[in-house]
Amino acid sequence: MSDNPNEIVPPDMLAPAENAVRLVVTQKTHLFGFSTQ
Amino acid sequence: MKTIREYFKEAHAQNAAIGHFNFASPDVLRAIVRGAQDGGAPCVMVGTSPRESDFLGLTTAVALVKTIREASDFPVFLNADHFPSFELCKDAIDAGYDSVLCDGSRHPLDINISETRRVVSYMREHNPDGTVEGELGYLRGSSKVQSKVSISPSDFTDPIEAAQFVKKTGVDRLAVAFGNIHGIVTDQKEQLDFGHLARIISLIQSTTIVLHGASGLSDLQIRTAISSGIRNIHFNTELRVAYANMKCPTIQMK
Repeated sequence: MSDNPNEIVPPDMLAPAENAVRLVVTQKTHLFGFSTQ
Repeated sequence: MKTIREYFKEAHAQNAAIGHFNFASPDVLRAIVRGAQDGGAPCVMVGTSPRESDFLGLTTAVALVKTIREASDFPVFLNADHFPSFELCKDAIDAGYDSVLCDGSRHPLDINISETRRVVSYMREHNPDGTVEGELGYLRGSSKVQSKVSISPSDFTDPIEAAQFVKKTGVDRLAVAFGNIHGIVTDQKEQLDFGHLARIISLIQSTTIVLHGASGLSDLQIRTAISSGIRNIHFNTELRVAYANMKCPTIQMK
């Protein structure tokens, strides 16, 4: 967590949103059928 | 790095599909690339719609993709998604996009063909490794959560027109409508007409067929689409929902 009081949205507060997107992409990618998967 | 065309060749050979995910911010782009790597994809396509491009800027999108491609040592290809005119597609190609979807699907067929053909010629001349997608049929809905979207078989891509379109434009990929809807619908189940898809594919077997509006489809529908010949699948709304659901409460807490 940032301790900079001037920062409206500390960057680490967005990490859960980024991780949620990452998870969706991973789940969809598992459906795509490449032999490397 | 292999070209996007080579990756699609592999997708055809393996009866597999390449994912396409939209972004409008660096953190979502990073999430897409990491997610594709986590899922074992050989590459990933990322796209910006005209509105996403306006928000981000074409040159910024190109710079972000170049940076993450190099930093992650993973093939990431940038597509201008649903750009509706030659001029906008040209701007994207000039900015360094790897691919454009020239979306003339709202125009009469002859205008759609001539506009898309101009984009194909421009891409071939300025970036021989670049690819162009065209679109035929009326893909209803938008990239958000909707209760219901009415569609009818008259919206579907006509197989004969699709063959004519591909032959006259020389596109690398074709986005088709066969029951798919942009965005997520909550009060209806999307019914994909795989028989209709088979009729389209039977006439244009050498072209990569693209499924737009995959958000909200079941895993079974996605797997069936791929086994039926879909080689490129677009997601946007599910990413937006996942992002907003986690981001908004966090910011409100602050």
